[in-house]
Amino acid sequence: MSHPTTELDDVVHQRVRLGILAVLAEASRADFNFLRTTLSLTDGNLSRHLQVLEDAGCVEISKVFEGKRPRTWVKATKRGRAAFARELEALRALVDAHG
Amino acid sequence: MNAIDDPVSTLTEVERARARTRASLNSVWYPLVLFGAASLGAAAVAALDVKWTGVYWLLAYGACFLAVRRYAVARASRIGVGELDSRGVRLWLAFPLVLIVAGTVAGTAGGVRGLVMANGVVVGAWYLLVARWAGSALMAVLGIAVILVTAVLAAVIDADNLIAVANLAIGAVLLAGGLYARGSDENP
Repeated sequence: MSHPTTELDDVVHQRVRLGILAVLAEASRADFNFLRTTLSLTDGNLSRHLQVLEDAGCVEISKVFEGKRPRTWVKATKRGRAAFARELEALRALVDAHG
Repeated sequence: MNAIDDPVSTLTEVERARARTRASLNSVWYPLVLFGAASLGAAAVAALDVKWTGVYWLLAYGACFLAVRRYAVARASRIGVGELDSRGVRLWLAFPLVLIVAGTVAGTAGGVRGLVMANGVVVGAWYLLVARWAGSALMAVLGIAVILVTAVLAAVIDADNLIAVANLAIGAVLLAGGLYARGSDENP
Protein backbone atom coordinates (compact mmCIF):
# COMPACT_ATOMS: atom_id res chain seq x y z
CA MET A 1 0.00 0.00 0.00
CA SER A 2 1.36 3.45 -0.92
CA HIS A 3 1.90 6.19 1.66
CA PRO A 4 -0.86 8.87 1.60
CA THR A 5 1.68 11.59 0.74
CA THR A 6 2.20 10.02 -2.70
CA GLU A 7 -1.42 10.94 -3.49
CA LEU A 8 -0.86 14.65 -2.81
CA ASP A 9 -0.96 16.97 -5.81
CA ASP A 10 1.86 19.52 -5.97
CA VAL A 11 -0.45 22.22 -7.33
CA VAL A 12 -3.34 21.70 -4.94
CA HIS A 13 -1.73 20.91 -1.62
CA GLN A 14 -0.51 24.46 -1.09
CA ARG A 15 -2.78 25.95 1.60
CA VAL A 16 -4.00 29.05 -0.26
CA ARG A 17 -4.75 27.09 -3.41
CA LEU A 18 -6.55 24.47 -1.37
CA GLY A 19 -8.59 27.28 0.23
CA ILE A 20 -9.53 28.66 -3.19
CA LEU A 21 -10.71 25.22 -4.33
CA ALA A 22 -12.57 24.78 -1.02
CA VAL A 23 -14.61 27.93 -1.72
CA LEU A 24 -15.21 26.87 -5.32
CA ALA A 25 -16.29 23.40 -4.19
CA GLU A 26 -19.31 25.02 -2.56
CA ALA A 27 -20.20 27.69 -5.09
CA SER A 28 -20.74 27.49 -8.83
CA ARG A 29 -18.47 30.53 -9.14
CA ALA A 30 -16.93 33.26 -7.01
CA ASP A 31 -15.46 36.62 -7.89
CA PHE A 32 -11.98 37.85 -7.06
CA ASN A 33 -13.15 40.10 -4.19
CA PHE A 34 -15.15 37.34 -2.54
CA LEU A 35 -12.16 34.98 -2.64
CA ARG A 36 -9.81 37.66 -1.35
CA THR A 37 -12.10 38.56 1.57
CA THR A 38 -13.11 35.01 2.47
CA LEU A 39 -9.53 33.75 2.46
CA SER A 40 -8.00 36.97 3.92
CA LEU A 41 -5.49 37.40 1.09
CA THR A 42 -3.86 40.32 -0.66
CA ASP A 43 -4.60 41.03 -4.33
CA GLY A 44 -1.11 39.97 -5.41
CA ASN A 45 -1.11 36.78 -3.41
CA LEU A 46 -4.49 35.69 -4.71
CA SER A 47 -3.58 36.56 -8.30
CA ARG A 48 -0.40 34.50 -8.12
CA HIS A 49 -2.17 31.42 -6.78
CA LEU A 50 -5.06 31.75 -9.23
CA GLN A 51 -2.56 31.83 -12.05
CA VAL A 52 -0.97 28.58 -10.84
CA LEU A 53 -4.40 26.93 -10.60
CA GLU A 54 -5.40 28.20 -14.04
CA ASP A 55 -2.15 26.98 -15.62
CA ALA A 56 -2.81 23.55 -14.10
CA GLY A 57 -6.34 23.52 -15.53
CA CYS A 58 -7.95 23.51 -12.07
CA VAL A 59 -9.90 26.78 -12.45
CA GLU A 60 -11.35 28.89 -15.25
CA ILE A 61 -10.98 32.64 -14.95
CA SER A 62 -13.17 35.03 -16.87
CA LYS A 63 -12.70 38.78 -16.87
CA VAL A 64 -15.84 40.68 -17.76
CA PHE A 65 -17.20 44.18 -17.60
CA GLU A 66 -20.40 44.62 -15.65
CA GLY A 67 -21.48 48.12 -16.55
CA LYS A 68 -18.22 50.04 -16.40
CA ARG A 69 -16.79 47.88 -13.64
CA PRO A 70 -14.27 45.13 -14.46
CA ARG A 71 -14.92 41.90 -12.68
CA THR A 72 -13.03 38.63 -12.41
CA TRP A 73 -15.07 35.46 -11.95
CA VAL A 74 -13.45 32.16 -11.03
CA LYS A 75 -14.93 28.69 -11.27
CA ALA A 76 -13.48 25.27 -10.60
CA THR A 77 -13.06 22.93 -13.56
CA LYS A 78 -13.93 19.25 -13.40
CA ARG A 79 -10.23 18.59 -13.03
CA GLY A 80 -9.97 21.10 -10.18
CA ARG A 81 -12.90 19.53 -8.31
CA ALA A 82 -11.41 16.05 -8.74
CA ALA A 83 -7.98 17.25 -7.57
CA PHE A 84 -9.56 18.90 -4.52
CA ALA A 85 -11.50 15.73 -3.63
CA ARG A 86 -8.34 13.61 -4.01
CA GLU A 87 -6.35 16.04 -1.87
CA LEU A 88 -8.92 15.93 0.94
CA GLU A 89 -8.93 12.15 0.79
CA ALA A 90 -5.14 12.03 0.99
CA LEU A 91 -5.06 14.49 3.90
CA ARG A 92 -7.68 12.48 5.80
CA ALA A 93 -5.70 9.30 5.13
CA LEU A 94 -2.60 11.05 6.42
CA VAL A 95 -4.38 12.10 9.60
CA ASP A 96 -5.75 8.58 10.07
CA ALA A 97 -2.34 7.03 9.46
CA HIS A 98 -0.71 9.19 12.10
CA GLY A 99 -3.70 9.71 14.38
CA MET B 1 3.48 26.46 3.72
CA ASN B 2 2.11 23.20 2.35
CA ALA B 3 -0.98 21.38 3.49
CA ILE B 4 1.14 18.37 4.31
CA ASP B 5 2.95 20.23 7.13
CA ASP B 6 -0.10 20.11 9.38
CA PRO B 7 -2.93 18.14 7.80
CA VAL B 8 -5.27 18.51 10.79
CA SER B 9 -5.22 22.31 10.80
CA THR B 10 -5.35 22.33 6.98
CA LEU B 11 -8.51 20.24 7.03
CA THR B 12 -9.96 22.56 9.69
CA GLU B 13 -9.18 25.62 7.54
CA VAL B 14 -10.70 23.98 4.48
CA GLU B 15 -13.89 23.20 6.39
CA ARG B 16 -13.97 26.79 7.69
CA ALA B 17 -13.66 28.22 4.17
CA ARG B 18 -16.41 25.92 2.94
CA ALA B 19 -18.68 26.87 5.86
CA ARG B 20 -18.06 30.60 5.26
CA THR B 21 -18.96 30.13 1.60
CA ARG B 22 -22.12 28.16 2.42
CA ALA B 23 -23.11 30.86 4.91
CA SER B 24 -22.70 33.51 2.20
CA LEU B 25 -24.68 31.46 -0.31
CA ASN B 26 -27.39 30.75 2.18
CA SER B 27 -29.96 33.51 2.02
CA VAL B 28 -33.17 31.86 3.09
CA TRP B 29 -35.27 34.90 3.90
CA TYR B 30 -36.51 35.56 0.39
CA PRO B 31 -37.87 32.07 -0.40
CA LEU B 32 -39.31 31.84 3.12
CA VAL B 33 -41.22 35.11 2.76
CA LEU B 34 -42.41 34.16 -0.74
CA PHE B 35 -43.61 30.70 0.29
CA GLY B 36 -45.10 32.08 3.50
CA ALA B 37 -47.16 34.56 1.46
CA ALA B 38 -48.05 31.83 -1.07
CA SER B 39 -49.22 29.58 1.75
CA LEU B 40 -51.45 32.34 3.14
CA GLY B 41 -52.87 32.73 -0.38
CA ALA B 42 -53.47 28.96 -0.47
CA ALA B 43 -55.41 29.25 2.80
CA ALA B 44 -57.70 31.82 1.19
CA VAL B 45 -58.18 29.63 -1.91
CA ALA B 46 -58.90 26.56 0.26
CA ALA B 47 -61.43 28.54 2.31
CA LEU B 48 -63.26 29.52 -0.89
CA ASP B 49 -63.10 26.15 -2.68
CA VAL B 50 -60.64 23.52 -1.52
CA LYS B 51 -60.52 21.70 -4.88
CA TRP B 52 -58.56 24.58 -6.46
CA THR B 53 -55.77 24.41 -3.85
CA GLY B 54 -53.66 21.93 -5.86
CA VAL B 55 -53.82 24.02 -9.03
CA TYR B 56 -53.09 27.17 -7.01
CA TRP B 57 -49.97 25.57 -5.48
CA LEU B 58 -48.64 24.43 -8.85
CA LEU B 59 -48.91 27.97 -10.21
CA ALA B 60 -47.63 29.57 -7.00
CA TYR B 61 -44.66 27.18 -6.83
CA GLY B 62 -43.68 27.99 -10.42
CA ALA B 63 -43.95 31.73 -9.75
CA CYS B 64 -41.93 31.42 -6.51
CA PHE B 65 -39.25 29.37 -8.29
CA LEU B 66 -38.84 32.01 -11.02
CA ALA B 67 -38.75 34.81 -8.44
CA VAL B 68 -36.16 33.01 -6.28
CA ARG B 69 -34.02 32.26 -9.33
CA ARG B 70 -34.08 35.89 -10.37
CA TYR B 71 -33.24 36.97 -6.83
CA ALA B 72 -30.37 34.43 -6.62
CA VAL B 73 -28.81 35.77 -9.84
CA ALA B 74 -29.06 39.38 -8.63
CA ARG B 75 -27.70 38.55 -5.18
CA ALA B 76 -24.82 36.49 -6.60
CA SER B 77 -23.85 39.40 -8.80
CA ARG B 78 -23.99 41.75 -5.79
CA ILE B 79 -21.96 39.69 -3.28
CA GLY B 80 -19.71 37.91 -5.77
CA VAL B 81 -20.51 34.28 -5.15
CA GLY B 82 -22.88 31.56 -6.18
CA GLU B 83 -26.03 31.58 -8.23
CA LEU B 84 -28.60 28.83 -8.52
CA ASP B 85 -26.64 26.15 -10.41
CA SER B 86 -28.07 23.23 -12.38
CA ARG B 87 -28.01 21.00 -9.28
CA GLY B 88 -30.07 23.59 -7.39
CA VAL B 89 -32.54 23.85 -10.27
CA ARG B 90 -32.93 20.06 -10.34
CA LEU B 91 -33.65 20.03 -6.60
CA TRP B 92 -36.25 22.78 -7.04
CA LEU B 93 -37.94 20.76 -9.78
CA ALA B 94 -37.75 17.45 -7.88
CA PHE B 95 -39.25 18.83 -4.68
CA PRO B 96 -42.87 19.32 -5.87
CA LEU B 97 -42.79 15.85 -7.46
CA VAL B 98 -41.87 14.32 -4.09
CA LEU B 99 -44.59 16.42 -2.48
CA ILE B 100 -47.23 15.29 -5.01
CA VAL B 101 -46.27 11.60 -4.76
CA ALA B 102 -46.18 11.65 -0.94
CA GLY B 103 -49.47 13.58 -0.81
CA THR B 104 -51.18 11.22 -3.26
CA VAL B 105 -50.03 8.06 -1.47
CA ALA B 106 -50.82 9.38 2.01
CA GLY B 107 -54.06 11.00 0.82
CA THR B 108 -55.27 7.71 -0.67
CA ALA B 109 -54.49 5.88 2.55
CA GLY B 110 -55.42 8.50 5.14
CA GLY B 111 -57.71 11.04 3.46
CA VAL B 112 -57.25 14.76 4.04
CA ARG B 113 -55.38 14.22 7.31
CA GLY B 114 -52.91 11.88 5.54
CA LEU B 115 -52.43 14.36 2.70
CA VAL B 116 -51.77 17.32 5.01
CA MET B 117 -49.50 15.30 7.30
CA ALA B 118 -47.47 13.95 4.36
CA ASN B 119 -46.99 17.44 2.92
CA GLY B 120 -45.98 18.80 6.33
CA VAL B 121 -43.43 16.03 6.84
CA VAL B 122 -41.93 16.47 3.32
CA VAL B 123 -41.64 20.26 3.74
CA GLY B 124 -40.24 19.92 7.28
CA ALA B 125 -37.74 17.25 6.21
CA TRP B 126 -36.61 19.45 3.30
CA TYR B 127 -35.98 22.35 5.69
CA LEU B 128 -33.99 20.06 7.98
CA LEU B 129 -31.84 18.99 5.02
CA VAL B 130 -31.26 22.64 4.07
CA ALA B 131 -30.43 23.38 7.73
CA ARG B 132 -27.81 20.63 7.75
CA TRP B 133 -26.26 21.76 4.47
CA ALA B 134 -26.21 25.45 5.32
CA GLY B 135 -25.52 25.09 9.04
CA SER B 136 -28.67 27.13 9.69
CA ALA B 137 -30.26 26.80 13.13
CA LEU B 138 -33.25 28.84 11.93
CA MET B 139 -34.05 26.37 9.15
CA ALA B 140 -33.77 23.48 11.62
CA VAL B 141 -36.23 25.23 13.96
CA LEU B 142 -38.59 25.93 11.06
CA GLY B 143 -38.36 22.32 9.83
CA ILE B 144 -39.32 20.97 13.24
CA ALA B 145 -42.00 23.67 13.67
CA VAL B 146 -43.64 22.78 10.32
CA ILE B 147 -43.81 19.07 11.24
CA LEU B 148 -45.11 19.71 14.77
CA VAL B 149 -47.69 22.33 13.73
CA THR B 150 -48.96 20.05 10.95
CA ALA B 151 -49.20 17.07 13.33
CA VAL B 152 -51.12 19.07 15.96
CA LEU B 153 -53.51 20.56 13.39
CA ALA B 154 -54.10 17.17 11.73
CA ALA B 155 -55.07 15.82 15.15
CA VAL B 156 -57.41 18.60 16.32
CA ILE B 157 -58.91 20.38 13.27
CA ASP B 158 -61.87 18.87 11.42
CA ALA B 159 -61.11 17.53 7.94
CA ASP B 160 -63.28 20.11 6.13
CA ASN B 161 -61.19 23.03 7.36
CA LEU B 162 -57.84 21.30 7.77
CA ILE B 163 -56.26 22.31 4.44
CA ALA B 164 -57.14 26.00 4.89
CA VAL B 165 -56.03 26.09 8.54
CA ALA B 166 -52.80 24.16 7.84
CA ASN B 167 -51.87 26.53 4.99
CA LEU B 168 -52.66 29.51 7.20
CA ALA B 169 -50.56 28.24 10.11
CA ILE B 170 -47.60 27.11 7.98
CA GLY B 171 -47.74 30.38 6.02
CA ALA B 172 -47.56 32.34 9.26
CA VAL B 173 -44.59 30.23 10.48
CA LEU B 174 -42.66 30.69 7.21
CA LEU B 175 -43.42 34.40 6.98
CA ALA B 176 -42.28 34.98 10.57
CA GLY B 177 -39.13 32.89 9.95
CA GLY B 178 -38.41 34.75 6.72
CA LEU B 179 -38.78 38.18 8.28
CA TYR B 180 -36.55 37.14 11.19
CA ALA B 181 -33.95 35.82 8.73
CA ARG B 182 -34.16 39.05 6.73
CA GLY B 183 -33.24 41.03 9.84
CA SER B 184 -30.17 38.90 10.59
CA ASP B 185 -28.90 38.47 7.01
CA GLU B 186 -25.71 40.46 6.36
CA ASN B 187 -26.34 40.45 2.60
CA PRO B 188 -30.10 40.42 2.11
